[in-house]
Amino acid sequence: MESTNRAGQTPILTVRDLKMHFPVKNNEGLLGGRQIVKAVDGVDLDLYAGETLGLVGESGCGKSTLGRSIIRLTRPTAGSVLFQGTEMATIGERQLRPFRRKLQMIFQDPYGSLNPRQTVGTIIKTPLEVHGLAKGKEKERVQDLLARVGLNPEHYNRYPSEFSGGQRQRIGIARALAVEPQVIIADEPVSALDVSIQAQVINLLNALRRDLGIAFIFIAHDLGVVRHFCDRVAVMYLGKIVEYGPKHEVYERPRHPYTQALLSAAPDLNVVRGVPPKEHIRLVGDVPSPIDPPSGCRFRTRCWKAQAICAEQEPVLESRDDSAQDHRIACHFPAQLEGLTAAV
Amino acid sequence: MSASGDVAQDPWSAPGPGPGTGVATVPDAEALRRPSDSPLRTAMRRLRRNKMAMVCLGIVIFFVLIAIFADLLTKLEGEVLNDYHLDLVDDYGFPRIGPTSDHWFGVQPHDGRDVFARWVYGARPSLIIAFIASLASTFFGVLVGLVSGYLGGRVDAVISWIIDLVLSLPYLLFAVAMVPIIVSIAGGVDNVTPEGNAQIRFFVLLFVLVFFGWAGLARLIRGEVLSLKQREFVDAAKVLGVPTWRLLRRELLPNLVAPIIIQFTLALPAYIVAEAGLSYLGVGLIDPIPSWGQMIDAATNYYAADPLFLWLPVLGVSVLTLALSWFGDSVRDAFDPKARR
Repeated sequence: MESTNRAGQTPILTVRDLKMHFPVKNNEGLLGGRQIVKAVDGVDLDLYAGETLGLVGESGCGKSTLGRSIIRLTRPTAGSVLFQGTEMATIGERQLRPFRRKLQMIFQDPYGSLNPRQTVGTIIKTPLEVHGLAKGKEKERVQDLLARVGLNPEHYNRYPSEFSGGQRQRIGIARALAVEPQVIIADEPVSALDVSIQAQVINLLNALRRDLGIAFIFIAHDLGVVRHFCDRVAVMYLGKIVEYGPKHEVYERPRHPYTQALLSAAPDLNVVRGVPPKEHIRLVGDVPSPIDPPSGCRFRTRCWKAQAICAEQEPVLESRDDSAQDHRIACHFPAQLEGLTAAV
Repeated sequence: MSASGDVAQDPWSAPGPGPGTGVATVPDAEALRRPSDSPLRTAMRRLRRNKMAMVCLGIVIFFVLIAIFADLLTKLEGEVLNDYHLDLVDDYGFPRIGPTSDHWFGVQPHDGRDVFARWVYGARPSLIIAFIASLASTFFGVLVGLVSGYLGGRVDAVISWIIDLVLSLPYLLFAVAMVPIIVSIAGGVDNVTPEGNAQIRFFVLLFVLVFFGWAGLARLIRGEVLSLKQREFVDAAKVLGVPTWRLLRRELLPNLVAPIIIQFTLALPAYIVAEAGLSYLGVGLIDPIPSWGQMIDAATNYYAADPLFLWLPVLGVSVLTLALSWFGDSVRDAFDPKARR
């Protein structure tokens, strides 16, 4: 289960060249026209049993869309998602049913993700009924699950509105656990919570990973949370992965300029303790539109190292001679920059 | 994909204490076990506390009882519905008598039928048509709105177009024009008995009311569904593999209870008025089925001589409609106290 010892292991989930494009109307001109938002544009990922993969990037980079298309909330435009070697990106909803037991999702908004008109018992019982699990003993099973996520089993008959954000998130986790999944995609599961509650929920997820061997794809924008929770990290920018590797490699030896900028932008607690602040990398400009992304390297419009080749040739996500073998960077000029992450 | 290859079963079924993250502490375990109130029950409790609503409900129940026991009440009076008493009207059709112990509300001009009997029986079609039309248009409206809003895409485009079409038709004109057409399609008028004709009219009226009634609710429900399906609990249900029909019924429908009940209670008085209005115009119910609308129509000619004949059905329609409308308003307030004026 150790992330470093994966030689010879086959991934539980394999994502290849996944693309999620959305058509949008534009109202320019007389008749308007259709444009394509390339929210996810060719992503490769491997997830091994029991490991935790962090997906970071700024808002709008496509990380949530990636998670949603892996789990088939949207049908990917192209590419493949293999669960234990079986294709699930293109099959119909009916054939997808068995996979719904294997992959689950934890949502960002603890207020929106629970049906306000159902009791906690009904909410957690739904997956059991849909998949015909724990027949005749649904209530006991639900109460076991409530206990497992640290809630009082007697909360069975309560409505979600009677719970706090952290408790609601636990209910959402219990619902995901009900089908005994092997992979959970957690879409910003703690972003909407207070910091103290965040820690509790992260500890709960950690315990579940440890006890149940569930693999996580953990989508977040909080670099600190990802560093605490994940084995490996993938950094996304404008629908693509720009850097991908073991946590300590990415955090301590980031090679892609975007990762460096991202890490440098994280607030440095040492400043509070009196250490003079490090120099920040300040990115200029906005993220380009995913409707018409820049040619070549997508980050070149904001990159301080950009040269002619960056506009002409798209850099491949690959490991470098001087980087760790499973540390891959999509950049023409990957260079190390030390000491960015003291406080993250 | 067989279940046998799953991860070790033990940790799953082990309830154990929470994984060291602290169980939420609530002092009273007994209070916890007690089921908490559903939003529906909370609304009903609020409604019960509303005196106005209860008075209105009482009035409605009063009329419902009149309709149910119309037979009994007429027997009590000692008259029979639609019995002609030509001896009680003069040569010009005016009734010779006012209210008497035999005819509590007098007799109708022209044919001398008992007004009390006509009035109590008149409550029946009013209420029956109002309830059936409300139920049917609510059912179709909710079904169409749910499907249209949830499925989206082309299905939604077509259904929305139909909804817009129905809503844009001039209701009164179409109702007046449609009734004779459908009656003749249904085989009415010429070769059917008056009773048969009245029966056909009854169903045609019901059809017309439902035809024009479902679209408004469908549009409302569609809008609600469009906003509901953006909520993450719908995504959660999809990820769990909840089939579409179950998702509509179990996840979305409970969230639509408030608008559905509100629309239903507000539709009732509207249908009572519509039935009376169309019957008054001569395209609703016809003899021998008694109806308040017809009575008002017949009474306008004799208003000066026999005002009671006019005022009774007017009172019936007005009081019932008013009570139902106020009750509907109270229901809305009970479900959505924030919207209170």
